[in-house]
Amino acid sequence: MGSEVVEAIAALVVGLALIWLVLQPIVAPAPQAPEAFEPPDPEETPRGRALLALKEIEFDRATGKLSDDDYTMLHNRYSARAIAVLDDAAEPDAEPMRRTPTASGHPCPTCGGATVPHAAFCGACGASLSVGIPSRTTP
Amino acid sequence: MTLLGHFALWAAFLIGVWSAGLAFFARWQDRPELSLAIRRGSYAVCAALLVASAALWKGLFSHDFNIEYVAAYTSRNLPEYYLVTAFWAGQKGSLLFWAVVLGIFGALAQALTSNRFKDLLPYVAGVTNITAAFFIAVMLFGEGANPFERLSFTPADGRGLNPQLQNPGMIAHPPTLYLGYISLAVPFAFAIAALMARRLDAGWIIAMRKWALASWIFLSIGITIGMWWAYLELGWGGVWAWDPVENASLLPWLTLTAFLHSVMIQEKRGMLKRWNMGLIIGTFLLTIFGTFITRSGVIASVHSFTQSSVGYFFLGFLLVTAILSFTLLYTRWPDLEPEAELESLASREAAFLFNNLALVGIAFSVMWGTLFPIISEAVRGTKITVGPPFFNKVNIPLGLFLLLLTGIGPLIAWRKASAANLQRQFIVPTVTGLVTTVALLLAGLRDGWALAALGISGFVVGTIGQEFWRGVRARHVMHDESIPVALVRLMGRNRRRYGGYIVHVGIVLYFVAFTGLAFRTKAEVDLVPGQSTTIASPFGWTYELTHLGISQYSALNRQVSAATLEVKRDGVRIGTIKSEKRQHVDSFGNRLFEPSTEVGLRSDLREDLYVVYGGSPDGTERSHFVLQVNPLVAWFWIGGAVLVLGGMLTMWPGGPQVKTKRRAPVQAGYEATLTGMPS
Repeated sequence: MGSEVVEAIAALVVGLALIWLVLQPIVAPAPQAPEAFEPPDPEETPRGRALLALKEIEFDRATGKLSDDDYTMLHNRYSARAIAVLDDAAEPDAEPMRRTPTASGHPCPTCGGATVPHAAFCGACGASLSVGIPSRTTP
Repeated sequence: MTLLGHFALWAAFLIGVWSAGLAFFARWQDRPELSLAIRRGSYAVCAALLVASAALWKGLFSHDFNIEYVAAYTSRNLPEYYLVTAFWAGQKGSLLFWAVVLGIFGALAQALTSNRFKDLLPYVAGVTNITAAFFIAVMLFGEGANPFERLSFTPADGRGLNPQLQNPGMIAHPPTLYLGYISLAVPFAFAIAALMARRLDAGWIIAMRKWALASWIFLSIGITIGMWWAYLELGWGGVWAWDPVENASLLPWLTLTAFLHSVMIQEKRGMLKRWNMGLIIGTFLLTIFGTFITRSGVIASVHSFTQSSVGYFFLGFLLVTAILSFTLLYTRWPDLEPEAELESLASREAAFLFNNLALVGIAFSVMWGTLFPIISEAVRGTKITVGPPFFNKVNIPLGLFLLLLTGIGPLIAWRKASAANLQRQFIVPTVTGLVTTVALLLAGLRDGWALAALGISGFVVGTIGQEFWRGVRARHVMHDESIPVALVRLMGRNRRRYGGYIVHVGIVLYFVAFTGLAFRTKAEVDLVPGQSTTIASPFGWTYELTHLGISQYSALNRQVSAATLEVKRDGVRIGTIKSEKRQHVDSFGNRLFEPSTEVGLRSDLREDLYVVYGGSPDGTERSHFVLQVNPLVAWFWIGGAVLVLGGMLTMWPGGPQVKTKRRAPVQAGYEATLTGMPS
């Protein structure tokens, strides 16, 4: 009988703890802490995708999978795409999020957004600007 | 502890339903501030199910035979580690195991997913929680499915654990396979979340692809250990029998493998979005289908739990989930327009399309064969079971085609390939394949299928070797790195690609091992002590086995009759081999279950000598033996290990793909410290 009482008390404690866990954000919401910023994967941005494609085209040529003609054709196409993405990002009205900085610095290598000249960090995504755009690809 | 266990089940059920309902309410009423409460639901369901599981383990370890489940699956003399595994040995316990693992995965999905995808997470919580709630509902409302059910009396000892489940493979096989099955709920939840939130860009794929890979690795481990268990415990000397439940585990593996390939086309080209959604939904539905097959008893299988109405809960869940998911997909159809078109049939994309067709083709044929008894009964009134010949006839050619694609795909560039380049790429692999085939022909191999399988395997190995070599050389030239450094960096920076190639090596080893099994030799003999017999190996030598005698003794929970044979290979003694007949007993010496067999095994890289002691007539030592020489079996287990290592490399975190510095998450904004303020 004694063990049943202990079990019932344990069940009560577990039940109350669970109810608190689930209802606390509704009945007593804690002040929201500012959220940690996490930079996006390269694949999440159009510029990152175009760069990845260029890198792959480069590597495919180096390993003999792409002929020089195909390489030139694809390279031009994806370079144009990457540049178009940069142009879009640099266009003041294209993305309101990136309008704040004056669009005269180098584009951010992570998100492609425009940056303030001589800025150490991108104003749109927070990435460090000390790293340049890769001039050579790394497989 | 049944009171606490029962209470925890109810709590998990109610919270699961509540948080799923809240997720859909928040979407309907556009109330994003509810998302934290919804996500907390996942943690609460997980916590409640952990309490329920602890309560069941407490019952198992304290031998509380008043609990029906404890009495049905354990006995006082059962080794302690089997008290751990008894948790999932029976229908009721495995339902709880399923639910708790789903609870843990649901909570991990919330905890580990990046904040960037936070608008998906309430829906993910909704889907995982409603699925967990369904499993708990089966326990609470299904007939005889509650693991905390008590008996009206307390037996002195339990009925013990089925001897076939008393095997080390059984400790790992069900949990790993379950982990694979259950973790698939997370990729499915992300797919549904992306559809619900209309966030159908690359985000949801990035958020879920590691989960899909983890599920794939768990499924692969579970299937391989299952093969090992079948080989050691079922005593027929094979690893795969096309048993309905084996098939049920293979089906989601096939469609998930297809998904892992076709998702790359979506990532790189923005194509196949609808197909990928369909594949991931289909894969999840196949896990529920597998559960239905196992638990309903509609198809006879070595794995089936006792026939019960519980299976029909799963059928209902399967149908409802299928209708809701595909309806949702249909409503989002226009949002899933492809962004590009196939540029050339000579491209990696096209090779992946064929790979998908072959994998889905195999899945359909396996499904058809598995369901054939039900279909034939419905149409013609008699249950006709299709055996291994059907499955082999259809799947061997499809499997070899798939193996060939494994070798062809990596040779072709993404987007486009020209004839001259293709020619250059194919020379080395084709030569490797041909040399392998000719060498085997010269060695005396005449079986057409075996030659094809091994020749194609040689081709694939040639491809993979060439891919590694050319990649290393390209780095060596482009970055002036030494060869070992280039190799390490090549693999480190392209983990998905080169991890994938290592997985392909594992697949090749499986094919080689399956080919080997086609050449096994078998003999059945009766021997008295001192008498000898011989069996030929496909590699050309002869084993001579001499019956040394029978020894009988009692072990912890069984009476054992062990037959020992001396083994000579071409006249040279190489050791002894022992096979056992075991009669399990409870702690009062009462017999439990039918006698079971422990296989005798001598294994090396070339072949296994496999001995099954069939028993002796009472009072004599005249013994019946089934002897087999099984070539190349060890390569299944090596292939499995390679496959898993490759899979782990693929999902290992890190590995920059574009040369931008990745930083640890930092707080956005500024932190200001105010000094000199009056306090």
